Order: sequence, then structure tokens, then C-alpha cells
Amino acid sequence: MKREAIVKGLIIALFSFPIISFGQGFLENSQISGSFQSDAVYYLTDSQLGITDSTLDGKYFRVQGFAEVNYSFKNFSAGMRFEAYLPPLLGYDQEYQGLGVPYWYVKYKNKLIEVTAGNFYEQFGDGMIFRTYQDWTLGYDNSMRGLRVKLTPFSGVALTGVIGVQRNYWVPFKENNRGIVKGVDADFYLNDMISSLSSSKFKLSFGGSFVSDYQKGKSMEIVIPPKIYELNLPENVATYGGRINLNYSGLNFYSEYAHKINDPSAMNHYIYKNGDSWLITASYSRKNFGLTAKTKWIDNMSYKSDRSVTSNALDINYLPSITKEHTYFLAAMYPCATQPTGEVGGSAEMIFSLPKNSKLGGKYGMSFALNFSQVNNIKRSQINDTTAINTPGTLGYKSTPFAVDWKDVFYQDVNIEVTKKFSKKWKGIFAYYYQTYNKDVIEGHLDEYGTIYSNIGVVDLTWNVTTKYSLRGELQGLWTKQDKGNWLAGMLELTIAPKWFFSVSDQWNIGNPVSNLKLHYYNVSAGFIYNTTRIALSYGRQREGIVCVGGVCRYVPESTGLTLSINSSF
Amino acid sequence: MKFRVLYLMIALAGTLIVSCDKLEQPYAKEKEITIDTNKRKILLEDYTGMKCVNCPAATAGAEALVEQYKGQVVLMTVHAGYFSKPDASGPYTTDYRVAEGVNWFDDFMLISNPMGMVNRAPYNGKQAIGAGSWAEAIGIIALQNEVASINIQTNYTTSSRHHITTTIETKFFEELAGAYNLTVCILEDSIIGWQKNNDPLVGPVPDIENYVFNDMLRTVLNGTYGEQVTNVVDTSHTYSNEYLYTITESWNPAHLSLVAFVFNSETKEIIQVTKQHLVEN
Repeated sequence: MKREAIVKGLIIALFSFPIISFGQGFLENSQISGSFQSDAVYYLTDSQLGITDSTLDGKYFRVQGFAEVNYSFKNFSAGMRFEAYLPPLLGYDQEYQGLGVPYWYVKYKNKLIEVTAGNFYEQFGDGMIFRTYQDWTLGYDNSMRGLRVKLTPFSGVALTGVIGVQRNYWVPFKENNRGIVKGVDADFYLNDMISSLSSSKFKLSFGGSFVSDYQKGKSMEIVIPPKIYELNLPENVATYGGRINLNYSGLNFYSEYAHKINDPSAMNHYIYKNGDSWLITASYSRKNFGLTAKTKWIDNMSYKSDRSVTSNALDINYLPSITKEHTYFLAAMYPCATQPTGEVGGSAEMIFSLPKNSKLGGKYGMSFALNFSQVNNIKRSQINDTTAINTPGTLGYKSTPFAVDWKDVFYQDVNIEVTKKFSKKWKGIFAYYYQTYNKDVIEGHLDEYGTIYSNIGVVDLTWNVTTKYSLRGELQGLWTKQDKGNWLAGMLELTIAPKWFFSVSDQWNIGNPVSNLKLHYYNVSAGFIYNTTRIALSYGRQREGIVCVGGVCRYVPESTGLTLSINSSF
Repeated sequence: MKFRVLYLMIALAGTLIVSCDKLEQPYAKEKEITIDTNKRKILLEDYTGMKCVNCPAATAGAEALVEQYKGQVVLMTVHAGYFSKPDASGPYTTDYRVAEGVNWFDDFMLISNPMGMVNRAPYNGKQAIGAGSWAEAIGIIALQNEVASINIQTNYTTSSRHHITTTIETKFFEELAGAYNLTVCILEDSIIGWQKNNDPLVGPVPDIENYVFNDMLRTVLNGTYGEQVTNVVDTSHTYSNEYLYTITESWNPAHLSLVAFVFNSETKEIIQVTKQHLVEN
């Protein structure tokens, strides 16, 4: 309570100070922006889904939302975000239950320096050694609270230093309950640094980072039945890495490498092996054509500011996903979650368009997107004949960069999407996907579900009836012999521009091997848009599964309910 | 000015470089435990669920702690939380939950399974502790001196089947501040049932058909937060609380134990615990 009062007082003082000091100038030169979102669900019992008063914990009505406001005046800015989870919606981490101001900051910026005190989000490179971010869809927030300094001492040189502690739901920082994270990052843009290269088509930039997490405690005890062991712990766990980006005309090459020293944690079974990750991306693009290829290697790279945590919380780094994220119901049913303890993968995507008025492209042209990605386990071997892989208190295992365990496929996705405009009023998207999904690995089970192989087809048609009315329909099918069997899905959406939209949808588990589980997951919704405000009301069932953003996922349980969502910005 | 700032950044980078502890082998050694009868006993509450795949491994760890600490640690497994809720049909239909256990789960914000508490004392600021930290939390409390003793005297004979009369005597060794409550529970061993599992070292995956549930909370004799022993501690006095209870017929008396623990009424931290089998072998 005292902490909240201090924060609120600080923000009010910051907002008030320029009013008092600058009077009319404040009004003329200041800016206020912000956003608001509220999601409220009234859950219902549903005997077909097995949802009872008990599974809902008696909490039928759940609301979560936030309001963020940012204020800027000349070189100063400040902001805060209020959040409430009363209680959190099903599928969100219940540790969020509560309300308060978890995010506030004050910032000063000029040409040389930018200083932020309070909470901030920051990323070094692609984030493989440091990334703090917030994602409302995932219910994820690992913001830093501390100090950030950014410097631009010379043109083309950007230096960043951070120190602080990460957000862990509503748990206040105490000496031992998480680490203190500090790091530095430097970016060098050669074309900006050397004036003779400023107009060159060849562009080069490179950078490097160093991050260290200090968590107090030189030893800890763990139980490996039937014995108790004392582990020596590194209080300072460091990561460092570098990156390079080359660009010439439409060609682009990016590579980033990160290395982590011994970091025994609950995530890696308390082994002491160093961690490595490597991301390489190459792309080429010109008019009507784009080609991207990626590969990555992740080996023991979970990096958290509390070594005992096994959930998504308190991640210091972010390991990018190289697989394509899908939006259609059934194509998104089996998404890929990044495995921070080890995975190796590659992906390629080609996008091209047949021009308008060509023989194959027709009057309006046609575009294609071909995509392939595969993620496997890394190849591990024992450190010696008598020590099993991942034995706590040892180096864990041996590995060689980019050595693939070809037999252990985590995920594979081959897909093609064709977009065709038939006339001024009709447009269609036709897609096919073949996905391989190791449910045990990706969802954290052990020999429970096995691997799911699925064929998915999607037809998405849009009819612009008039400039005001448009109708969009989707028809989808998923065929698999594993898991819950085949699915059919359909959706019809009416948009009355610019303010109204209505939709009905259904996902039907037509091939479930259990006859009384051939269920419909229906949904009806309506929405209204006024300027930057969107209000949506929906009623229906939520299918069980995982939702992923950038390879970070959360589990969503089955539910039935009435949902009201409001969001706005100013 | 720009160079000064750059020097500052270089100095900061230097500081960071020393922020790196590279350890050498051996990284671990087996813990030697010295049992001292003057140290306080510890209640390890294992909040579990039959549909929790990670729980058998956590419980195996808890049982190892009981074994290693040879009488200094008392284990109580409490079925509460999402994974303890029975299904309408199938193998997981048995409800092992007890109202008081569910209240503790909610009140102490255990959130999920497997989680636990060690004497309900804060560890890193929280009473709810992940299974990976139980050993560490126990190791800290195991060094603390005894501040009270609990003696259980139970009158139960096979002829008085189903009826228990138990007297709990509490004696404080230090003039502790605050009020203290007593909770008395009945636990049962050797209950056979279905349990989900993802650790092949513990048993078959994904389901163990004949899992043996031990130390399972069956009932609490005196409510969620027990009965007050005293609001002013007097070390010269022995406090006595008596309970009568009729045990449920389906329980096996040979597998029942009484667990009594005394805790600070405000902080809920347990200062002493004792376990006694109903029928001594």
C-alpha cells in the first residue's frame, strides 16, 4: 500500500510540476497518450466439456484489464500502467490475481543521452541474451525496474546500459527471490560512422552485449531420491554475444551468437554445461519476389533471474522462433513452442507474385507464399559411461553446434498460401499445411500423446458487396489419425464499414475417436468501432490448446462463456 | 564530455566482466545430515493432485527428505488445486480433497501443483515453495533450536473401533510473543489409486494404476486454523487440548497417524510438529 502511494505520488508530482512551473508552456508543448483494455468473461458450466462449479473454482465472473497513460513535455516523459486481474481469466497465470501499478517510469532524453528510471522494456540484438517485453495476449510481462542509460556519443554508435530487477507478477523484490540483472550493449552502424560510406548501397552494422544476473546464494540443496545434495552455485551468471548485419541492395544477412556460462537451474536439471545459441538469417527481396532462410541452434539457453522457476516467468532472454505463426483456427491448433533447453531448426520462405494482366496472374495478379520449417532435438551424448544425460550436479551432456538428432522431430510445417483477387468484389485465399507436432515435447508431457501428423486445408473468401458491406467466409479442415482426430471449421463474418462487425464460427471435432466428444466449439460475436475504441461481445466455447506468440506459449483450457472486450487508445 | 561518458561506459563494462562466476568441478557433494534432537521438527506440506504429472517426482523427493532427516521432518500430502479435482468418469474419479486442505491451498496462494510449504515459513518472501526448493528451505529451519514440544497421548483400542480420544500437550521453552494455535490432523498411508506421472524413475508414464498415496491428509480435527493454545506464552505451564473423534469406517486404522502442529496465530508459521501412528507397530 505504501509502495503504491509513493508511486502514485511520484506520477502526480511529475505531471503537476510542469503545470506549476511552465503554465501556458506546459499546455502548448506537452502531449498525453495512452491506452485502455478490459476483458470480462462470465463463465458457464458446460456438462459436455466437463466444466462444473468445481472446475471454475466458483469464480464465474472474471475481469482483467489495464490502463496506461504517457505524458511528455519537451525532453521529459513519464508514464504508468494500472493493471487489475479480478481474478485472471482462465488460461492466464493465476499468480496475476490482484491489482496495482506494476509499471511506471520517468525519462529524460536529449541528443547525447537518454535516462529512464522506473520500469522499462529493452532488447539487445534479437534478444538472445536480453529482452524484456510485455504481451497482453500471452499474459506475459518481464519488465525491468531500475535504471537504463542510452548514449549516442558519435553518429552511428549507440550504447545502452541497464540495471534492475524483473517483474514477477506482484511479488516485491527481496534479496533472494530473484536476481539483479545488469547489462551493456553497443551497436555500431558503419555507414553512419564513416561519412564516405553514408550513401553506399553496402550497409554494415555490428554489435555486442554483455549481461550478468546476480542471485544471492553460493549453494543450495536438492533432492535426488534417496539422497540430498549440496550444489555449488554461481552467484553471477553471465552471457555475452555478438551480431552482424550486412545489407546490399535487396540482399540481407544477419547473424547473432550468444554464450552463457554455467547456470544450474530447475529448467536444466541443475547441470553446469555452458549454453550457446546461434541465429542466422539470410534474405533477398525485389519487386514481386522475396526469399528468406533461417537457421538456429539453441543449447541450454534458458536464462532466468530466479534459478528455481520453471514457468515462463522471469526470463532474461528471448529465443526467437523461426517457424511461421498461423492465424486460421485449425492451422494454429498445433503451434511451435521454443525449447530453451535445446533445439535446432531451419526454415525457408518464398513469396512471389504473378503480375497483373499476365497470362497466369490474370487481370488482378496472384501471389504465393511457400514456407517450410523444421525443428529437431539437438544431439546429446553422455559426459562419461557412468553418468546419465542431465544428471544434476554434473556438466549434463556433451553436444556439438548444429548436430541434429534427426530421429527426434519437435515440429515441422510445410505450407502454401495462394492469394487471388477474382474481381473488384471477390478475393480468395487458399492454403494447405502439413504439420508434424511432437505434443509431448512442445506441451511438456512425457510419452503421453506422441507426435501428431496433420493435413490442413483452408479456403477464405471475401465478397465486398458494396463499399460499406463485406462478407468473409472461411472453410477449414484438419485431418489427422492422432490426438483428437479430424476437425472441420467454418466462419462467416459481416463487416458494415466503418463501425460494425458480426461473426459466427464453429470448430467441430468431427473425428474424435470418442463418440460423445465429437463436440462443437461455436462462437457468435458482434463488435462496434468508434474512432480508436473497439467494443466486442461474444458468446461461445473456447477449445483447449496452447496459444503462442513468437515461440512463447501459454495453455488455454476449455471454457464456455460470455465475453466483453473493450479497448481504446488516445 | 562525450569521451567522459564513453570512459564511464568502459568502466561499467569492466565491472560487468567480473560479474561472472565460472565454477570448477566437483559441482555437487552429498549432504551430511547430523540429527540433533534439540532442533525443531519441520512440517513439509506437499500440495498434490492425482492428475498432476509432476507430483509423483515431487512426492518422491519429499519422502527422501523425511528419510534423510530421520524423524525431524514430518510429511503431510494435501490434495488440493486444479489437478486434484476428480473427473466425472474414467479412472480419476476419487476425490481426495479435504475442505481444510483446500482452504490452506487458497489462503497461502499455492496456485498450482506440486507446491508446498515448509513450516509455513516464508522462503524468499513466500510461504508457497516449489518442490525444487523444499530441501533448501528445510535445511535452513533444521538448524533452528526447538522452542516448544508437543506430546500426543491417544486412547484407541481395536475394541473402541472408530473412536479416538487424544490429548495434545504443548510446552513452550521460550517466552514467545503473540498467540499460538494448535491444529490436529489425521493422515492415512497406503491408499492405492490412479496417479498421473511423467517421471519414469518414479513409475509408469503417463498413468500409474496402483500408485501408493502415503501421508495423505484425511481430516482436520479442529478446523482450518485449529484452536488457540494460548495468547500469552507461559513457559512454566503445560497446555493441554483434548479431542474426541470418530474415524471413518473406510479408513484403515493400522495406516492412520495423528499430526499435531503449533503455529503463530498471526504469521501462521509453525514452531513445532509431532506425528504419532494411531496403532504402533
